[in-house]
Amino acid sequence: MDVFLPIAHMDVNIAIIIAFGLIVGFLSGLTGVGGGFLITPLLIFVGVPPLIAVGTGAAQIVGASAVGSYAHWRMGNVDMRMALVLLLGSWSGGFLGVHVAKILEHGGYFGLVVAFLYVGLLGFIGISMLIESILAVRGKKKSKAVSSGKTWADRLPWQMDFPVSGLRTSVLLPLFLGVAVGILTALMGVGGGFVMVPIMLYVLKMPTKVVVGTSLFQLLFTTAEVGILQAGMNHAVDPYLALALVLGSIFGTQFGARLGARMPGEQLRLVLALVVVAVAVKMGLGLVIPPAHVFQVSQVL
Amino acid sequence: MKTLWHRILLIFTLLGSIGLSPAWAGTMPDSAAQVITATGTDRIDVTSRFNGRDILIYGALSHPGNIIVVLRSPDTTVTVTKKVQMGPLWVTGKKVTVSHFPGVLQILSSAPLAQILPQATLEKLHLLPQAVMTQAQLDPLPQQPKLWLQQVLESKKREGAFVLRENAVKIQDGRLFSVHLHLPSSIPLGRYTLNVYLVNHGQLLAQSADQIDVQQVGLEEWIARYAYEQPWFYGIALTLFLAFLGLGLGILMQRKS
Repeated sequence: MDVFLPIAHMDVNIAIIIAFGLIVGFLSGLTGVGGGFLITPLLIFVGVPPLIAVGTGAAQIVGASAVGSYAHWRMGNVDMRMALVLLLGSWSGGFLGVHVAKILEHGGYFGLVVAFLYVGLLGFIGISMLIESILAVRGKKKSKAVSSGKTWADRLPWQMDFPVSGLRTSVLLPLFLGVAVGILTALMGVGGGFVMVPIMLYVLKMPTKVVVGTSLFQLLFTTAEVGILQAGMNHAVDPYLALALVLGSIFGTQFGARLGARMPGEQLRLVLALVVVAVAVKMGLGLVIPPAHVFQVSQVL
Repeated sequence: MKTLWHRILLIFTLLGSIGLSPAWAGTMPDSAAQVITATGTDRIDVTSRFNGRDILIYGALSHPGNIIVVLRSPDTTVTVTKKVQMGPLWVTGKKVTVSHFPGVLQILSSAPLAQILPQATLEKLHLLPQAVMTQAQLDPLPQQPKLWLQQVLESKKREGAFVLRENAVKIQDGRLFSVHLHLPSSIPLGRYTLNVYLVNHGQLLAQSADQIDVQQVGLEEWIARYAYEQPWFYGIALTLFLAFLGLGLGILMQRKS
């Protein structure tokens, strides 16, 4: 069913967009990894302008992550103090990022920057996931070196207690983490869980249960801020795209979660890693293959 | 479709008057020549399901001759970026904004233009692509403006917005003409002008001017306008809506299972 997108100003088969939401939701339900980093490239592949793909990608995460955040908050898995410090950072980062996006788009470089960021980031994530899951499937368990005693993080100023996580650390760490994630959300249309979760686990050393709840909670409000800024400043959020993606991903996540409970996790992560690498390769090829048309003409609204 | 029947009636009345008084038609100078045009529609509603549209243009001519039909949309602005090779990578190079350029320009005729009108007249009536290119404004002005404008023209040809079809207009019995136009799915909104020229022996005998309004209608028009006029309220409303939709559906599905 072809639908004319009022903001992206193009025709798109809306069934394909719903299918994207379903597939990505399904993968994220299966593996527990959020799928924002797959949505934006898929939208770009079907011809959505990069800035609108990024803005809409961020906005759809609001709908896709709302119920999970709410559930974790009800269960008390959100470290509110940590979440607020992170949000202070990510809202600043998001604000900065949306301004950078506007400047890049004005100069005509946004699409190129997005492609570079995706090739780099997805390539890195995909390959590290691939190595990890191949090792896991082979049955080799990496022994984690747990360092005890004082680390560099403990010597930073502005130490603060985070009772829910049961730790004391410098405010600077979550603040900077927040800024980085906010910029990623604005420039790539991702929630940033893939950056936030490992750092919370291994650098901040928060308990796993609290990490999942807190990261979901903060990314809900970060994507909401970035979605509003992208709509307000850059006219970059298409309502039909966002709606179709949210609908698809909610149903997809449910099926994925049910199926995932009955399937071995290592193989699932391997599948996801392969998908991520494939998207990175496709994006990378787009940078190397000579374009069909050296000149690109796009409509200004 | 009252207006359609009205126009058909008008054409037959005109045909009748021409037919019943051949002496009058034959002796009058060319200034009395007339062309009457009707369109299958004078309004095009762009909805979210809009995927292009065929329009029938037809009419009657008082004198034998050739017909040129020109449909032109309001001017639009486009950006042209050039990809340049940097090592193994293709990166975005220069960007030029082209304004005062028609979004849609379709020229259809019953014979090759060069054969039916002299170059000067074609230029005067803006029937040559070059005419479009001379009016355009480029910012910043590149070294070879013609090359960049040619790219805009080529891109518009590919998407079907720019059309030049000679021999497309059918003329029956020297009195009636008809042609089908096709508008692609992505077209600028606004008031389009439809000019029809009756020419003979290199002379412009008569012309008619009509308008076709292309407008976005329904919910999508409201959303698009709201998103542009009140982008902040639109952003906040959409984000809240998506959050509550996700929350509501998620809770509903968890209860069911």
